[in-house]
Amino acid sequence: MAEPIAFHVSACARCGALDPGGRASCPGCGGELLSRAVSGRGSLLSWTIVRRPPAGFDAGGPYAVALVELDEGVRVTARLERHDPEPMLGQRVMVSAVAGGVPVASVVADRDAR
Amino acid sequence: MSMRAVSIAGVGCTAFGAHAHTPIHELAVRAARAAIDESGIARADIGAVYLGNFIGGMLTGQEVLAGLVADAMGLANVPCTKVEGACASGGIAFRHACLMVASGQCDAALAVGVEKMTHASTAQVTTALNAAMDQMADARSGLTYPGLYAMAWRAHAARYGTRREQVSAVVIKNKRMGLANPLAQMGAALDAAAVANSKPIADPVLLFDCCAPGDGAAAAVVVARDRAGAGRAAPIDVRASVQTRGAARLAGHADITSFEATVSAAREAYRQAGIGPRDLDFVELHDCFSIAEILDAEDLGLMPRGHGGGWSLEGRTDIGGDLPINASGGLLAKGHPVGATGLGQIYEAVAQLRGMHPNQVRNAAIGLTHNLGGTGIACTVNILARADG
Repeated sequence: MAEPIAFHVSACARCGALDPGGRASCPGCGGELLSRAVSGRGSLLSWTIVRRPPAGFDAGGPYAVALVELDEGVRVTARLERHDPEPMLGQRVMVSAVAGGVPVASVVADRDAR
Repeated sequence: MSMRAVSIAGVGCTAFGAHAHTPIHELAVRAARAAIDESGIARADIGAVYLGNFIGGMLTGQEVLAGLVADAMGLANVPCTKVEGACASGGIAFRHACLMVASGQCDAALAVGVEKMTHASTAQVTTALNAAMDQMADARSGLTYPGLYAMAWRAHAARYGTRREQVSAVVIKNKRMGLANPLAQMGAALDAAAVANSKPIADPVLLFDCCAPGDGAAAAVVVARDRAGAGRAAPIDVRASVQTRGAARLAGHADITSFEATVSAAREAYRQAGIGPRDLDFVELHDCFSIAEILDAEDLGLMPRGHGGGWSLEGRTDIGGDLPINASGGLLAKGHPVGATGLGQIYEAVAQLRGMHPNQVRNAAIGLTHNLGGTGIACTVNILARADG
């Protein structure tokens, strides 16, 4: 069973809005975005398996990519660990790793969901 | 600022497909020359050039395409501007040409879109197309455009029950339309089994759900309406030309089954034209993937949300149906030489409104074109009409 890890997104120092990252300033108010730890827990909005990766990603293909809505209300594009059976949309997930700056989400078994 | 009425005086379009021995700017010249010849406008009277192109720099190494094309055609020393909005680049070029004429900056302007892709490998093309993603966000995850639409498809299916056979009906229709369009890259007679058995690309997107890379160019000459009528074909009125922005990232869309740039562009276009979706006789929309036709049609308000798949399977979007969509074959069959696509749609819509389309919609008087770029970051919607329509 994968364990949640310390996962960080960006938070605006002025208005508190969250951003998935990769920006220096807040789109809403222009305030400085600072790193903030979040739970890494959330739900699966959708996912796919990429079988024709761009150049530079070939070694990783095929791989699953997901859109995850974290409990804090911010969405992140993440890699998704394979899961059998196929995950359902809305299923609970958690960020279990960060690879190359990209979060890796794992499906949370029902008994561990909260 | 009061704006003048604008008409399309001439259009041109190369075949979409492979043009291995034609340089990128020559493709654009070919389409632009045809548009100018048809328009009856002297080259010296073209007052501005807008050229839509997305990845020409990356795939061919050629930049300054707008000035290069004008130079090759002997146009006057007028402002020549390349615009880029990923797959919406051609539509953006068209709108800017319209604005130059509408605002009185000039009486005639040329819009041309071009792309050259087939000489590059699939991985090179995928990487180039991925430049339309935020490199600090979605692109780092290894997401691709088929993957993005696959995620939208999965969410649409979960919410509305959209089925494989409904999405396949889009492919079957558009590929069949492509068979009759002499400019189409890959028309085909397909059945549901052929679509469903094609190779997986990004689950649930299969090979036949995707448009193919292509080479091609398309162009339009737009003029002040009181200058229209000098050409050898009927001028077509531009009733609305709208450009909008949407979320730069997948995570920014409030709903991944809908592109807010399309919704807002359509709303403004209907307002400008003083019509609603029920007044349209046909639509050319941005079916870069089969599921995109369903998402886009719902975003354009052509049918209620969640009904796009049903309309497709029931033939309601076919020629002779309630509202024909992509009689050209669309991106799926006519092709998607990215920067050319928005103007290719204008070319097809003009042919419909002149009653000269190979897949003619009966009594077509008013039509809509929709061109969407990137993760839904840029969109253009145009409403075109017969002068008596």
